[in-house]
Amino acid sequence: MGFTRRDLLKFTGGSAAGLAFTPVPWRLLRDSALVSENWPGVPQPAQGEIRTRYTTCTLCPAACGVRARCVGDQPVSLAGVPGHPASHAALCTVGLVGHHLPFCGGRATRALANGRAVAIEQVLARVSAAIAQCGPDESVAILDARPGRAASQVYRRFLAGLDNGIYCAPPEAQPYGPFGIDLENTRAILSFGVPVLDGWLSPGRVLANRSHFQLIQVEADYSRTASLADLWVPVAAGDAAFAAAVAHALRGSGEDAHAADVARILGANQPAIAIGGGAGNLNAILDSVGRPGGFLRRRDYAPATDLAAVPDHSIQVLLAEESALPWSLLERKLATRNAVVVALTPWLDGYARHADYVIPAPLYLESLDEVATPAGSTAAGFSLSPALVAAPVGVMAPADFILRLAHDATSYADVLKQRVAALKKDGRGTVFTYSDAKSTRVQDIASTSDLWKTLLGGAAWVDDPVPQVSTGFPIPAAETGDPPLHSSPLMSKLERESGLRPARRYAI
Amino acid sequence: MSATQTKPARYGMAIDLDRCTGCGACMIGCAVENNVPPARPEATPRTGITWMRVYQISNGAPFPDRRAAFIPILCQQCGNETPCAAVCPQEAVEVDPATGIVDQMPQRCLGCRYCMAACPYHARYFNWWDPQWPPGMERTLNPDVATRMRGVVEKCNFCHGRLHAARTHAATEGRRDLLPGEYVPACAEACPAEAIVFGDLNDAASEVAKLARDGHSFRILERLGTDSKIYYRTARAWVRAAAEEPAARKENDRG
Amino acid sequence: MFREHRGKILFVAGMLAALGVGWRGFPVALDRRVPQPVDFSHKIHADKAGAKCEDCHGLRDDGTFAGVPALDKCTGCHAQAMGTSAQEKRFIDGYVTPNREVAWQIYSRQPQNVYFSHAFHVKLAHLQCSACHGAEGQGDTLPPARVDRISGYSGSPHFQNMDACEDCHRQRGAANSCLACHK
Repeated sequence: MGFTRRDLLKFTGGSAAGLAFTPVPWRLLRDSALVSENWPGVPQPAQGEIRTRYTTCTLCPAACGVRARCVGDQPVSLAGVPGHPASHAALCTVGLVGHHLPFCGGRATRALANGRAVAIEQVLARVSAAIAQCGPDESVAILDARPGRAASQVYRRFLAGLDNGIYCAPPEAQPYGPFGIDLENTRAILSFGVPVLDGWLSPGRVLANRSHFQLIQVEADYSRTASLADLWVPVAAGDAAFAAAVAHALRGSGEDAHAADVARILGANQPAIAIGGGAGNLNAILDSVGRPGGFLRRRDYAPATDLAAVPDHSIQVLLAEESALPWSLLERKLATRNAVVVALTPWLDGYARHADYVIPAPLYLESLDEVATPAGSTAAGFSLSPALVAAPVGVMAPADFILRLAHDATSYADVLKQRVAALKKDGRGTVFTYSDAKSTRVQDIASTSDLWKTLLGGAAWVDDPVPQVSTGFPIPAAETGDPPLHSSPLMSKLERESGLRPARRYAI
Repeated sequence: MSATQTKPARYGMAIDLDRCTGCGACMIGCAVENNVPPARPEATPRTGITWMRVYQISNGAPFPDRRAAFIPILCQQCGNETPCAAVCPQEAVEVDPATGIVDQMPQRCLGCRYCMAACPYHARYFNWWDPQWPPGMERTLNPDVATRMRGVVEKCNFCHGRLHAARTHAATEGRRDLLPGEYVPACAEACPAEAIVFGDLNDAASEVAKLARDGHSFRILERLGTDSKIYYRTARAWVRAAAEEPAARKENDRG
Repeated sequence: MFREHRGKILFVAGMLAALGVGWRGFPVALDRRVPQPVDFSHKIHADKAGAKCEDCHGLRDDGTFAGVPALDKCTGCHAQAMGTSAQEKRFIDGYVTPNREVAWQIYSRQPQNVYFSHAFHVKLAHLQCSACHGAEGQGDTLPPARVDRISGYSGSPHFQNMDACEDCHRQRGAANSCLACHK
């Protein structure tokens, strides 16, 4: 008798019954669930030793201290540094994801000439030639995105060696010139359009002091700061008539109801300051210069040329860092024929779209960098911003490019070492170390190389206070050009150098 | 975390709405810590994932007296008849007896989204798509938090990866108990205004317990009786009134 | 008799075959046996170098477990050949000289969503390494790792699923909530 189909079915039935008493079905069920947990598309975090490293944020002039949690060498999250003199323990929304920046698309990784990849040496040669050919009315300008650094000195020295060099910087980088704001003792702030609660100075410092001051926001838009202010005056920030009305009201005269409200609050909450382009001479009336709670002068300020003072169409060669100003402001200063624009930037968007030459710059966290005095600080400051990740091959720091242009064999790293040596020699100020929140006087640090190592491990140098005088506060030039800054300087810069645009405005 | 150790904790928060400026640093800090993927281009305010989400409300006054307040909403870690835990058919939600944290297990979740319907605070989010990061950004993922796949629900769990790390560190010193400040979720650490205070509500001496008890603190939708562990604080009466009866107007959708 | 009870006999035969395959054949077939890349002997290192478990598999300061040591732990002694064995020579030529990390197979590798803290179990519960890792640290060779062909996870009986962990936790009254062990 042969093996029939019935036999097969009986055997199979027996096997199935038997299998139920083995681990097979349960194991297969479990394995199928485990497989579905591990679709190939879902990334798994890398494992490794967790380390803490310190650096300083270079994304905006607030210069906040940064504590990076790293897996091996890769930062996986950033946080503030408790006790930091400029930033307290906070980072802003952009600073918290600074470590994601290298992975955003649109990165410039090769030197470009009119959109085509070239060697950096070729760009150096052509830019040198263009500079050499400049006539008496044709200037060479450097737009320094972050003035006050040791790199800024490199730019100035290079321009000083030319007949016709102009050194420019965006006003928001050092918004009060040689002055900082004694925010810890201010009791009222009259803000003409300044985004006080939304990107002004360092958020940690501003918000730590928020409960101490009354905030009056003069602004046509219902911005975040306006919606949270103690008083919102819906008048355009640049409205000179309103500033004049407030001046009258402070002196006891005038009929404007809003201005009277403002004057009442300022009178009841002293010391008070006025900030923003429309503030005019209100600080003189408020007597806020050189006094606690007002504007305090610091050392080591060197002014830049105001771009508005540069004649139109007079710049023949422009070397511009990042995308520090609206392009329309720069464009009208460029010579009408054969102007040469060099963009020193990490991004293909922003200035790179308008430039003849692009030199790819390293990003924040990719190479040893520095920060100057934090915006609004009442004492001069300096920090190193050590690299935490590797830079792409082929990038060059803007300062290194200018040094090469100047035929200077020093490297930017050496320039930084010289700056630190000068700090040690001057012997002023204290160094706040991020890892233990301790402050040490520079005099008590044994040597320059100790100071260098301390700064490289994450630290901020803070100058000693300077004797104050109540003399004139420079009236800031009114903002020109469009579009007006409708959000913080950092957000405006991000918009210029990326394709990012802010989410729809709220008209509530 | 064992029966042989000290009394159970009940972790909670006190969020000061008078300090919150709506900057969203808490949202970003949370997303970075918990490996939340960037939103897809097709995501909307209803389909994006924001374990911590800041809403904006206004006092309804005419201009120029209109003022805003910002309310960070996260999982309220309901202690009484936890709605999401009660409805889950998979028992993928568990209220941890040792910490009070309402823990969501994405590995058990089958994606029915019943819990999302049950949550009165809309604090639960669904993975409509596979998580995707721009090329290379996966290197920045946090190893203390597992990534989730498409089709499961996720929500705030008080950064329990940080709880694990804090307890492990305490264990090396032979301690079973955590010191104050040793365990802090990412949102509380990120807030530049220091508006979020985190701690053990069962520890009467802790700052959060003291803040929770005083007259300025309230909970959202208190009348539901969920015994939420998130206390909000404000001196402004209109903010407090809005928390009791949030209006279903567009302005409440921060988007 | 066979003809009469043919159906039942075949049925029972099927059952027995399935039981045999399911209990004996299936576990063997399901797991791949992956050998270790280097023929390392725990016994030699314990006897001759006096090494204890925690010398290479220790806790870091923050409490995380160092796991299987990185190459620099080995090169601390084996920068040059310390003996005459062929295995050591292969190790030095293949890994020390080119400075290549060894891709060790981990017997106890857990999925990403599992959180296990050696610090709790060693420092607070005072468990010996052998309580979970058995005689792994005493052998003269390293057995091949068992890797489940379907899921890719560990096939070692002790580490395959939660059962062994839960049993011990239940016996000792340790934490048994999801939060305790999952990320």
